Amino acid sequence: MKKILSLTLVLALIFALVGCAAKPAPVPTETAKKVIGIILIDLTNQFFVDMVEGGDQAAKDYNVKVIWKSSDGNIDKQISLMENFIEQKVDAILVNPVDSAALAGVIKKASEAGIPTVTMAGQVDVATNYSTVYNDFANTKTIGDIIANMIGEKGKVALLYGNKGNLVSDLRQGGFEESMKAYPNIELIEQPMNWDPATGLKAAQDIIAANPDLKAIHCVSDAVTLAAYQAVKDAGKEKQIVVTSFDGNPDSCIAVEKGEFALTVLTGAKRAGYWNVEVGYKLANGEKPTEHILNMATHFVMTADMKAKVEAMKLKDTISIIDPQTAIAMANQYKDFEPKK
Amino acid sequence: MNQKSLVSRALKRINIKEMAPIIILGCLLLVLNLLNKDFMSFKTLLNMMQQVSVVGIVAIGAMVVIISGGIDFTAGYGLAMIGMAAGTVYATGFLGGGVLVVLVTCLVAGLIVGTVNGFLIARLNIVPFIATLAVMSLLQGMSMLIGHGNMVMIKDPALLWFGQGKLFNSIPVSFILYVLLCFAAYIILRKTKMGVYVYALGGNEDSVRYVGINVAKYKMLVYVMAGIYTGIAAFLTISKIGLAAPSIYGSTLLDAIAAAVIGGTSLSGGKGRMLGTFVGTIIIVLITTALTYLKIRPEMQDVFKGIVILFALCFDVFLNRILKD
Repeated sequence: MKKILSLTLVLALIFALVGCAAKPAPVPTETAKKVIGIILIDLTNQFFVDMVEGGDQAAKDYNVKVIWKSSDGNIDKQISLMENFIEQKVDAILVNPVDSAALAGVIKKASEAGIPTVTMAGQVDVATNYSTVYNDFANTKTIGDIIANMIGEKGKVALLYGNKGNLVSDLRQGGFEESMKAYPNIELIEQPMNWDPATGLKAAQDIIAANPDLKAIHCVSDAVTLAAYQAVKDAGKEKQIVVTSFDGNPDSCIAVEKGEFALTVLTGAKRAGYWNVEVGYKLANGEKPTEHILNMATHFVMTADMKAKVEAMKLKDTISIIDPQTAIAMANQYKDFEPKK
Repeated sequence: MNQKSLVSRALKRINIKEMAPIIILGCLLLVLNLLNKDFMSFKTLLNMMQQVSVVGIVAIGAMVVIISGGIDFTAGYGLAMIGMAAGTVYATGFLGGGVLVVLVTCLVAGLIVGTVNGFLIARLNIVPFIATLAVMSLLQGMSMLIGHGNMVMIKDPALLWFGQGKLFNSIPVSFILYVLLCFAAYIILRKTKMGVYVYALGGNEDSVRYVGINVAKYKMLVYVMAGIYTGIAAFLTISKIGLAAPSIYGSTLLDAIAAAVIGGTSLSGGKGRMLGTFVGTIIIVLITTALTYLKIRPEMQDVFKGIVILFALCFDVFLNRILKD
């Protein structure tokens, strides 16, 4: 009896597997609607959560179907997700590379299958590929210059980055390190926070305890900066330590308004999501922009006082500065947003 | 009587096995003090007190489960899911969304996670490793579904007090809570029937069953206790960092299990002490702080943590060999 049962089960399993192989994946049924496959690095970070929200709005506005996938920070998983999308014959693939170099092969494969690709916040060396860039490196470099100016170009500065090998984190860490090269009297202390507010808080507590003379903390993601600020407040060093951030989420803009953060940068995750879907839509409909690197406009968020100070610094790069309330409005008003070339 | 057995008898008399975690902590502090004179200070102590509670509370749950001969992988994403549930309750103002409602949400969510684990393991007899691994994945997904994964800022001062408040302007409230929970676990393990059965389960489950004890009930209680402790840890986490987000799990799960193991909890079950786990937690928390003091590259932190855990395990094996003589 048992033998028969197990045999039946094995056979059932084989049939199930064969069945799967026969029809690879559900092909989207809605006929006219274009399908865009988007692969993010992970979905636990607020930035990506917001990106999905903005992107879904764009999908509604442009009447396209968007399929979101998370690579969970894993390049192998990312490549297999890409392959699935190619198999499904989606109309465009957008991907946030975990590792740009490792992705080139599968991007080429997509291109051969006639599917346009976009690498978000990363460049891949394939001629047909488009890149959407948020200026992370340049903007973080500018933040480094502003901090250096504020603390008199000497002393200890801490950087809380995400994790090594994560593209967004690497760009933001790289930009900061690049700027610090110009200031030999600044000692840079770096700690990873793995995009986790709790880890970020502990890292900030440890750094402040170990370096009583710390002058500034820059953290590469708003959600974590808000937690790390608790450590500054707890140590009673709000006046001594300059705190700067990145992403421009509304809670962080309020912190800027209250003077807790010196500044943050509005990349606007929702805007980024909206814009990327927009780009994907254009490519899916056969448009071929001549420029292969597309830049999204970003803005520095700071109070009027701080703006005056920064303008007096005479920075090399020109930056767009907006006040916190404008930033909050902009972050939620991504619909009529036009990317600058 | 040869020299070796003399040493072994002397070690047995001072109860060396139970002292092992304290000796390891002593060694660590000694080395750190030699390397950086600023390290041993009141400030470091306060800093440690602030950081130890969440990992410590999860470690208590992990310890009890491991003593009973099981393992629980749900604490990490459990922390995230419970934190998000509490954050959502707070943000939507459900039943007023006050501190009490948030606390009850955490406890109930923890209870549910624990009951699910307990049901799978005690009633359906699924291996704890597999059961909690599956539940872990479930919780990971749920933490992103609840509140659509949106971050919630917490501004209620009463709620923030538990994680950020200090008594006499120095001792963190969260630390006092942690110590109380340590005592509660100590009493459960040492002074109650449940405690006796938990150790017995880890020692030899079959004989416990043959004696006629309701094994399923006590196994269930073990996972429920771990779940509730995770719930309290989640409550303190969101209170401490002032926000709830799906990414708050961090390295809590591994740190907690490591803390229990460094503290002398045997992964084969039946052995473990509250004091040991307490010291183990301090060791785990101190390692990352110490590396910041010593200005060691952040990439080295995990390597260093691994070395300390391996050292503790080898120390255990080494002691067992001596004691056998």
